Amino acid sequence: MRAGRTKARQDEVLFDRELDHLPPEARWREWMRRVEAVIFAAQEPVGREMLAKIVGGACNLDLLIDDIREELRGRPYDLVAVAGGWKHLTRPAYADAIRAAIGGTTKSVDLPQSEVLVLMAIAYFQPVTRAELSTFFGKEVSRDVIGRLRGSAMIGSGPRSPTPGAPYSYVTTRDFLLAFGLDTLRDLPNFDALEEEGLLSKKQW
Amino acid sequence: MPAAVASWLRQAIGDDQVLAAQGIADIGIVAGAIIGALDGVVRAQERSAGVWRQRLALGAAAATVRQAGRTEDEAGLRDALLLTRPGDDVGPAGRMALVWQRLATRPADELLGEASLAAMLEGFGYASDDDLVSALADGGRRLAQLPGLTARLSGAVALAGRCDCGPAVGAFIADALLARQLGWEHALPLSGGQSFPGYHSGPRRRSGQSRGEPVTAVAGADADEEMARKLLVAQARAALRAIDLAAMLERRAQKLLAVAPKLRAKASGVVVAKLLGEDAIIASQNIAGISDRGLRRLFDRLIEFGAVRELTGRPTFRIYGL
Repeated sequence: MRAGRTKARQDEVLFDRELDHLPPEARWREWMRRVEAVIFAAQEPVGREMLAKIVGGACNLDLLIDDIREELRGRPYDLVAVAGGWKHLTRPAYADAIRAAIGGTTKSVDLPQSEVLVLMAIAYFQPVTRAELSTFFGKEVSRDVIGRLRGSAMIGSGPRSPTPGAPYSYVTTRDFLLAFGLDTLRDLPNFDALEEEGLLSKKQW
Repeated sequence: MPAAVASWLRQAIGDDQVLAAQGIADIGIVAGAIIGALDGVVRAQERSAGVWRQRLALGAAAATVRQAGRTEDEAGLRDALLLTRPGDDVGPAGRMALVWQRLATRPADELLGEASLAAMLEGFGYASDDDLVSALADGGRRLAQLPGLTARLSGAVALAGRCDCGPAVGAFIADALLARQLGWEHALPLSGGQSFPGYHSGPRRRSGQSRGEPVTAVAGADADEEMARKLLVAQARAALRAIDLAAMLERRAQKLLAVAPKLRAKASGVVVAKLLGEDAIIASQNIAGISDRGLRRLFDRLIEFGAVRELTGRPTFRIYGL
C-alpha cells in the first residue's frame, strides 16, 4: 500500500507536464494530443483537475480544447462539455446510423415518454417528492417510475421532506446532465424564462 | 458588548429622503462609521459569533436563491441543509447556501483563489469554465490592490457584470475584499443578503464577449457615481443589520449561558456549544452521549427557560436554535 503510494508520487514527479524542451507550438500540439488521448480512453467525462495533471501549469485548457474541437470539425464525433467534464460524443446527425447498426447505444437512457416527462419535472422543480410530482401531474407517479429513474442513475436522493413519513425528495444527477448533453441545469430548455417568472418552484402549483 | 450604533447614523442611513439630500462624501462618512462599528463587533468575538455568521450566510443564501428564480426561503434552506442525509444531495438551492456558509467559515485569504472561485461558481449553478475562473481571480487580485472601499465595491460589481455573472458573484467577491481590507480572518456574508446592485437581474450564461479587461476604467467613482452611492448605502444598511443581529443573538446567548449550569442532561455542554456555533439543530440529530429522547427533553427544558426557540412552528421535524 505504502510502496504503491510512493511509486505513484514518483510517477507524478517523473511525468513531464511542462515540456520545456519543446518549442511552444510543438508543446501545444503535444498537450492537445495528451488531452484528447485521456478523454478518448476514459469511460466517464474527464474533469479539468484531471486534465491539469498532464499539461503545463500555464496551459489554458479551454483554448486547448477549442483547438482540438477545431481539428475534429470534419469528423462524425466531437469533444463535448458534459456533466462538468469532457467526453467524445458522436454528432447527432449519425444517431440514426448508429441506431440502425447497433440498435440503441449502450449507455443511453431508453425511457418511455411518460418517464422522461417525470424526469424533466424533477429537473426543473428539484428537490421534489413523489407526492409533489403526483400533485403536479394530477395523477399518481408510481414508485416503479421513480425506481426506474433511480435505477438508470438519472435521479438521486435529496433532502428528506419534513412531512409525515419523511419521504425523500429527488434531485437529478451528473449522469442526467451527461445523458441529455447538458453542462448545467441552466441549459434546460426555457430555464431562464421560468427563472424570470419565479416558476422554478413547486409552491406555485 | 461593543457600543451600539449612534442614533444619528441610524437616521442618516434609514430614511431615503434624508439620504437623497446628502452628497456622496457624507454617505461615505456614514458608511465608514457603521463599518467601523461592525469591525468592533467582529473583533469582540462574542460567544454567539458562530451562530451570527451562519445566520448571515443563510440570509445571503435566501437572497441568492430568490435571484435565481427559486422560492426557497430561509426556513426552506435550513430544512434542506438539516434534512439531507450524509451522501445525499442538498439540491440546487442547498448548494447556493453552502457557498455562503463556506464564505463565512473558510479563511478569508483563500476566498479569491481559483479553487474557491470555481467552487463558488459551481455552487451558484454556473458551468465550470477556466476562462471565467481566471478572469474573476485576476480581477479580484487587481481589486485587492485598490486602496478604497468604494472602488473595491463597485469594482466587484463591475467585474461580475463584465463576466456575465449575476449579482451574487459580485457580492461574494465584495465580501471577500472587505474582509481582506479590514484584516478579518473570516469574511462576513454581507453584500449577498440585500438587493446588492448588479448589472443583471439574475445569473446568465456566458455570451462570448471578452472578459477580465482591466478594471481601472470603471474603478473611478466618478465613472458611475450613482452606482457607488447605491453600493455604499446598501453596504451600510447591511452592516447595520448585521450589527443589530449580533446584538440580538448575543442577548439570547447570554440567556442560554445563564441557564446552562441548571441543565443536568448528559452532553448538555455539547448542545449549548452547538447552539452558539451553528444556525440550528434538528431534534433528531445524532449527538454523542445523548439519546434522541434525552435531546428532545433537553430542548423542551431550554424552551421552558426561554433560552432557545423552535424555528419551524411544525409539530414534527422540529428545529431548534438561538
